Amino acid sequence: MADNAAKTIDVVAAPPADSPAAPPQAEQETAPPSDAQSPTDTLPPGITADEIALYDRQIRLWGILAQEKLRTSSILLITIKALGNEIAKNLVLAGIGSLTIIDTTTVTEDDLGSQFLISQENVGQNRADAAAANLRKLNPRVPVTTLAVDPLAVDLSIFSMIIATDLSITLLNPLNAKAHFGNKPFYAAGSHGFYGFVFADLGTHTYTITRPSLNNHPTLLGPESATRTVIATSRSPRDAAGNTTETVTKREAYQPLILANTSPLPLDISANRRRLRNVSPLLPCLRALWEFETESNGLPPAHNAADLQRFTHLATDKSRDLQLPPELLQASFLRSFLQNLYCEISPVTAFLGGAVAQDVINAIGGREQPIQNMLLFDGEASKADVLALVPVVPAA
Amino acid sequence: MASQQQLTTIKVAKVLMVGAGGIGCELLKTLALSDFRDIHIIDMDTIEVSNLNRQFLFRQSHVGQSKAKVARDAVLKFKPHINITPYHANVKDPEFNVDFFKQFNVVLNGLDNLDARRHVNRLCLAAEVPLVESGTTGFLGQVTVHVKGRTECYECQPKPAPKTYPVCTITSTPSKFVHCIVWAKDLLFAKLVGDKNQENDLNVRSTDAASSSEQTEDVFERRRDEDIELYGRRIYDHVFGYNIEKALSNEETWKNSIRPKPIYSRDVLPEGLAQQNGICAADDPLLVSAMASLGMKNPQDIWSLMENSKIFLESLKLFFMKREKEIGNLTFDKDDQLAVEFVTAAANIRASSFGIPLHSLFEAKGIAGNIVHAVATTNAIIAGLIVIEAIKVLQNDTNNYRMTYCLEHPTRKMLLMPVEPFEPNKSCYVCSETPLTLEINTHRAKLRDFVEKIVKAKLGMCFPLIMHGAALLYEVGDDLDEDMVANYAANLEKVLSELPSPITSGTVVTVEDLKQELTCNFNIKHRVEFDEEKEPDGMLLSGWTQASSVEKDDNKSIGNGGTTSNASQTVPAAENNDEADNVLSGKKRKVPEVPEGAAQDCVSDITRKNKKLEMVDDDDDCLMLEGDPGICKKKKLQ
Ligand SMILES: [Zn+2]
Repeated sequence: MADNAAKTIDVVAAPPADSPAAPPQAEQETAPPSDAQSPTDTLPPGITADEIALYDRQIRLWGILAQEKLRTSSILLITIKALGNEIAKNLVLAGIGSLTIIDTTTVTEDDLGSQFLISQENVGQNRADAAAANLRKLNPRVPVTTLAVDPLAVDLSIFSMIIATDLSITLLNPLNAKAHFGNKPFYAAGSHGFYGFVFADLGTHTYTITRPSLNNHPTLLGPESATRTVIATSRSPRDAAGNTTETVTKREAYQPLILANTSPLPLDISANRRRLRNVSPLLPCLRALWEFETESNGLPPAHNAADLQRFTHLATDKSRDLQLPPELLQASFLRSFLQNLYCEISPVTAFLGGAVAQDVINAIGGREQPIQNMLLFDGEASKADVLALVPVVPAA
Repeated sequence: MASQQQLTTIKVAKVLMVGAGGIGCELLKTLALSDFRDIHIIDMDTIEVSNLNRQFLFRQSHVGQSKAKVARDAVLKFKPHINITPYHANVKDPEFNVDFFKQFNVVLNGLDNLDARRHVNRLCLAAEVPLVESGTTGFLGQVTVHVKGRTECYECQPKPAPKTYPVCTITSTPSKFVHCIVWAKDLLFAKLVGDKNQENDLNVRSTDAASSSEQTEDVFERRRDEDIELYGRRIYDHVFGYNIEKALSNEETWKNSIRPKPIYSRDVLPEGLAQQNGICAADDPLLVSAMASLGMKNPQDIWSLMENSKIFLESLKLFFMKREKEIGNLTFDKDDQLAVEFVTAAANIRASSFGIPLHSLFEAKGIAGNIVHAVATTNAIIAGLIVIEAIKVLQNDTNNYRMTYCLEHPTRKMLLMPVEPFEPNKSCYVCSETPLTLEINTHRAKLRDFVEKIVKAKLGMCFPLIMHGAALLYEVGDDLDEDMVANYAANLEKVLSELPSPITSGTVVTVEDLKQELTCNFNIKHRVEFDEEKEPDGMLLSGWTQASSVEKDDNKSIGNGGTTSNASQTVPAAENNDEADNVLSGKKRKVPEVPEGAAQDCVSDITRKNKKLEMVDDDDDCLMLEGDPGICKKKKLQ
């Protein structure tokens, strides 16, 4: 934990006037000055020695302050199927403060064998209740509650994070809007056979990154990309070998899904032919699916000629809007996507559930770069690229 | 859903999983939910509390039970009608021979140590069964595919060597906390409570060459009827006071280093320790604790010099009072609270002396125990990717095999990096028949040196058989008659050139491991002089892809795989993000952040693959992993 031991001095520049007075410094919490006369009882409020033993391996990764932030977080998970199982497992194991699950459907025979939190005896029960019982056993320290209500009717103010899985766009958009205007970080995720996505709208999110410092030049303050600004940097003293670490505080500004869906590709991709060829055809397919759902009351395309033709048409349009090379969207890909709409296969939900939970954990801890803003997973090609899909703002 | 053809392939496949740890739990779940019906799983380990934050098939009530068996039972609860066969055993056990491996369609590794990985690699090659290999460290991880004749084997490329330190840095000129930990753990702890017959460099540099060895031996021995606290203070004053003062008298040493200050116990703790022990009358030796007996609770606190000194004396006292029977055969174990307390305190006192920042017990434990960062999310991600590759392997979908790396990218534009597998390395000593070259002093080195330092430590063989032409010089096995055993024992002590069939310059020696079905030929070259620091073994092996076989392993499960094999106990310690000390191995390899443990080969592989990408990617800039610790840097190539 050499990073954590680093004591920060030598603040390179004060944060700009509009930034918070004390940017979070997740990496430095475990390092009181080395010559301190240490009192024997300075555990952060609440964390016990037992918890340190239980969470030992992860505290070594993200530090005790991030663990404390996790410990006081309350997370809302909407829909718990195979992907929801994975996300809930990862968050409960990590020791979040509480998990609330909304799912109004009941467990069917079809769910068995693809969801590890339920078994035969749960058939007929509410899906959230069935999963919650097993989640509590997974980590008895984390309270897991369920709500049998319309997710759009829930008061989001009591939650620190909202995660929605396997929903149609007709639910995702209003949920995202509600979260965005209530200043609640929001994640959406879903899977379609070998493909899947994770979308993040964290509002305005501040976080720190601590890295070994490579040269004498501190990271420059100011905008780093269309969405990201560096707001402070500081540097640790040199160790005996002359190495230092730099802690950089950054801020990401997010947009809701409805805006992301009409935004162009980031400039560094759209202006580059090789990168354009590497964009996943999943993006136009997802946009086509969502447009289709918007036009048909949330229903995905059925397996009939009319729907398939309409979908194909939409996908081709979306691909053209994104200025993707026409050959990118192959018929075989379209077919594979359509055949597996909303189908969950275990290796894919394992990946997506890991990616969502990891991002949620880091976002709560205020450390590391979160997803900005669309992660596209293609299990056939083992690719998982992140695209920043944001509206083009004319220069002021 | 997956295609019909995929489903059929999956349903009839017979799969071997090695390791039921962090990756293993996730993998077994994902395999079962993907509809695999016949899964065998090997793990020698039992469940510990620190596993529970990620090995989600296990509960508090399972602590102490077999991982493989508990994992099976937990999965059958949500997936009742499949076959899972658990083995609570070491994958290196003879029952898991080539014939055992041949029954499987694919082998999936979720291991935590190099030694077991190499063993499984060899068995998979011998049995011609495809291997999907994996590892994770923190947010990093990788999945690779190894198919005999088609792709690289696991050992085709050198693995970065774990940290080793020059002896003099440890004994005389520590500049980092890890040096103090190595000193406290491998020298002082070993000297005071470990095996007295082990060679120990504790006094090598700190006393005059003239001072006799008997005199130094005596110093550390507790005298008859010596008061335990006085003994502790005597040791304290000797190693932190007298030895430092001795070392200071040699001006040469301090020309380029900061002079340490000697520390004597009377200056730090003028009064005796309060008689407050007895509070912890724990029956379980692993629960005896100096912190508890001194009323200290927080493992994250950084103790003052005085507190460290108290812990030092108290822990030594507790060893002699509560655990006297074990003294003489203790080895450091990160789960031994008292041992961790002693090592933390000793390392901190030494650090004070050398002006190095002090560390908490929590941090010191991580460094001393080579603890690998581990989280559920990375393991879940990697398990998903293993299953995706396993399905491709079962379908013989060769063109789509990928080695997939899970990155920690500062701007997170790409979470995974898929790379096409490479062809087998034609000079790999494991999957090709290229001979190795060994430079050795054939007039001084004994056969034992060759067996221990090369055949076992470097080649990782367990049951070697050594031949020179038709003459059998050595073999291991339980079916040998007494004459042969005696003969081989005698050979071990002979100098190479004086063996019944002498090994001299130009000799070709053949070494076989019958269990691994691996044969290696050595071209022997006689050489007289070796560099003590760079070639401490007194021999030089070339044509060998391993930088060093020394590997982290503390006998207990660490890292994210399962423990199915014990590697040798090692001196080198963990080092998180600095490769400058990698001196003994003679290999300079840039390895980002936490190179030890499960994913130790991950990132250097990425660097290598990227080198390749860099060459084929001619029209544009590309993402490259620089060697910079933990940083994946975007670099313009034009
Ligand atoms: Zn090979």
